[in-house]
Amino acid sequence: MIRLHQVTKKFGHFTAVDNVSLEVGEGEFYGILGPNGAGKTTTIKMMTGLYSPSSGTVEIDGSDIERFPTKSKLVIGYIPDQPFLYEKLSGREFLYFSGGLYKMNHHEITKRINELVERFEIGPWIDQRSENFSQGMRQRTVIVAALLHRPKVLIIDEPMVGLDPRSAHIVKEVLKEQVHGGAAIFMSTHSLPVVEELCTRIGVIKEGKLVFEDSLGGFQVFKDKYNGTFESAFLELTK
Amino acid sequence: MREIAHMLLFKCRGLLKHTTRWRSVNLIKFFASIIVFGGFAFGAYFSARVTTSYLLDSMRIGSFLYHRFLSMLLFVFFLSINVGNLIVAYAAFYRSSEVAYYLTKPVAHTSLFLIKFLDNFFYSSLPFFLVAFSVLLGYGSYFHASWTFYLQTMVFMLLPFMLISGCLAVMMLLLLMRYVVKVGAAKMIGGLVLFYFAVLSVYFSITNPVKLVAQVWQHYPHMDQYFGNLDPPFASFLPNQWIAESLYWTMRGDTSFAFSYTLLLLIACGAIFAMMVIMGRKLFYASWVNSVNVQTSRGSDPPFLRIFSLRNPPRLEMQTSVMIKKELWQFIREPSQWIHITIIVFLILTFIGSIAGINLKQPLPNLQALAYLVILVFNLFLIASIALRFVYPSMSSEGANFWLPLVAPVSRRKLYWVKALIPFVPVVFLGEVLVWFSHRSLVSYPGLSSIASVIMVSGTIAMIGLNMGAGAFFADFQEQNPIRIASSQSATLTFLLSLFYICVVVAVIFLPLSEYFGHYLRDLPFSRHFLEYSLSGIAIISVLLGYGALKLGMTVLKRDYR
Repeated sequence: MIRLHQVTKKFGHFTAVDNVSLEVGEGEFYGILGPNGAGKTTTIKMMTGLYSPSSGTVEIDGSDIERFPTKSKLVIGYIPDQPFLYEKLSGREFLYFSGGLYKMNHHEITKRINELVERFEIGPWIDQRSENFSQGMRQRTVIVAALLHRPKVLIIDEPMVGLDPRSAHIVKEVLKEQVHGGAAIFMSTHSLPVVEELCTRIGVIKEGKLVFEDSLGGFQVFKDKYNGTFESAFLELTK
Repeated sequence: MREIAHMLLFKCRGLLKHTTRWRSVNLIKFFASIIVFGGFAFGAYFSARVTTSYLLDSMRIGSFLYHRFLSMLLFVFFLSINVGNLIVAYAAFYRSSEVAYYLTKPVAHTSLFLIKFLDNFFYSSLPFFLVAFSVLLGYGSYFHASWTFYLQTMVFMLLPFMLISGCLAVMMLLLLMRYVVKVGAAKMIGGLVLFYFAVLSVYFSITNPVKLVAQVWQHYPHMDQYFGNLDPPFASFLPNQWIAESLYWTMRGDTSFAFSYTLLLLIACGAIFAMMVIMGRKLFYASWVNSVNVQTSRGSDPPFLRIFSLRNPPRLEMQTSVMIKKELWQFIREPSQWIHITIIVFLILTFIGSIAGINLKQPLPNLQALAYLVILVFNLFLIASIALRFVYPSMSSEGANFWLPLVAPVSRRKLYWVKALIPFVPVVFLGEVLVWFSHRSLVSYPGLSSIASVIMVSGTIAMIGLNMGAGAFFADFQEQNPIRIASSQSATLTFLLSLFYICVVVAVIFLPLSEYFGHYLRDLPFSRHFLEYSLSGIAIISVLLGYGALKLGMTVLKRDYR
């Protein structure tokens, strides 16, 4: 579902992502880890079409996102690292706007919003203007917007930021359901327990290069060499 | 004082780093600015020089009357600076994340207030400095003034003059924001517009330029005498009058009189600045808190607009429908848009009210063409102002939220064109309304309103295209305040280009219009083809300008979104 082939991104002389290749298949949950500034968000922005790769290709559901942006984006649900919303729209209006951009029909949007509003327990405030939302409220609205059109591919940048424990639990459960339903998820996070709990495959990126990639089982073997903790393995890989 | 110096130092560092980043967009902005601002400055200098020479040598109106006209112009200049500062100061004081940041630090509110005042004053007054200096050069060159005259006039007269205007604007804003919760934003805005209108009307009805000219003309040919006794008493309290007096006496070689007026200006400037600082110390924080309350209090949407709710089923294709509705609601719910809308609607109504009652018919063809073109130019100027204020910021105001449309399966071309076409319909409609009202006294000229319609539609295409394209090309996704975006350096550049376009339209249409009026007023020969070719030329220039600018703006959507 997601295929990065020798992707490089340069900003002037600085190489943010260096020749990265990876694949995420159906029903796979790929967690990408790395220190700050390693290139995780840049990789994600290339996958969503916000950045254009300097070289290499990004394929989503078999289509090159550079050559066929509309077709590729139709199957993506994206949760950005910072949940910016149109301040003057209410949460529900934002969801209608998002659904409309994904070419859903009006009846379907209404039905889906009602389902997700209930699921994410955001009914009490979703009709307020988003300028009054807290970070957690914004994050939940953006997550609902990403799930609205039942995407086959979910690309997530730091999903748990600002969420209270109950909301974080709901999000984790929903993401697990998505994977079981056959979606491919690519997630960047600094939360090691979240990776351990959710991901089926792990990649570690450092200075733009993919320095480690294996299944969760393979990572368990690797971490046993370093105190057996996730944290020690991560520190070893990124030192 | 150390606190202010420390904050200013880091502000200047940030500004220098920002302005010296050599990206292609910045380079284009830099060179285009030099060409356009340079051209504009030269135009202002040349006009001032020629007008001075014409009035004093050809018309022989005399030095006194000339300086009284100068005083009236300075009054309008004073009000323009005042309104400009008032509008931009609202964004600088009450919508700035910088203020919110400093308020969490142990910084005295007075220091913060002064920093923001200086920031706002120089930011919003820079184009006025350019105009003032260019006109001064034109004025001084006629009188063969020395370089010290320019320096002294700029530093000791025009700078304090503009500072007084800026200080008064900020004092008014402090009062408005302090009591906005009690009085209500709508009443405040309405009251403010009425206040400016009243000031302008009272000034011109009391100074009465027509009466003054008649009174001075009675002394012909001794027009260079001093007729200060004809001035209304209240005029001697106005800073524009002090500058005019100072210049008058300087040019007559009486420096002691000139100095007394300069001193008066400096003292008044110091006193008003001190009053503003005291007011800032007392009211700034309280007014800031009020502004937060106003911004977070949700007003209800007008009921008649609910048919455009995003929750309603779409009437157009789904993506287009939600994009249009999103633009509409973002616009309607932004209070700063309403301040300008109110001012512009008021200006339009005043213009329509005035123009509908004026008989524009003139006996001479060239005079008729000139009178007609003045009205047409004003109509185009109004369209240019509206495009600058409401179309130019539309791409930048997407800001950090732009990620959603960009990651959605919408073609970027569609995203851009929908945004560009939305303002087109209301502006064309407005243009036609202006044409209708401004042609009521000219109905006897066959086809004249059709000519105006072609020019206005062409002008709208050019202005919307230019502002949308330039607004996208110079998009600043970090700055979400539409007022600051519309008053940025690149926005000013775009506006000057619009003015240049209007000059081109006038140059192209003047001769055929003179012929047209000559035919109907004096039965002179008239080539219909010449008029048609000229109109076609305007239409082609406008479409090329609008489309070219839009194409240039498209490049923003090909860049990485950062």
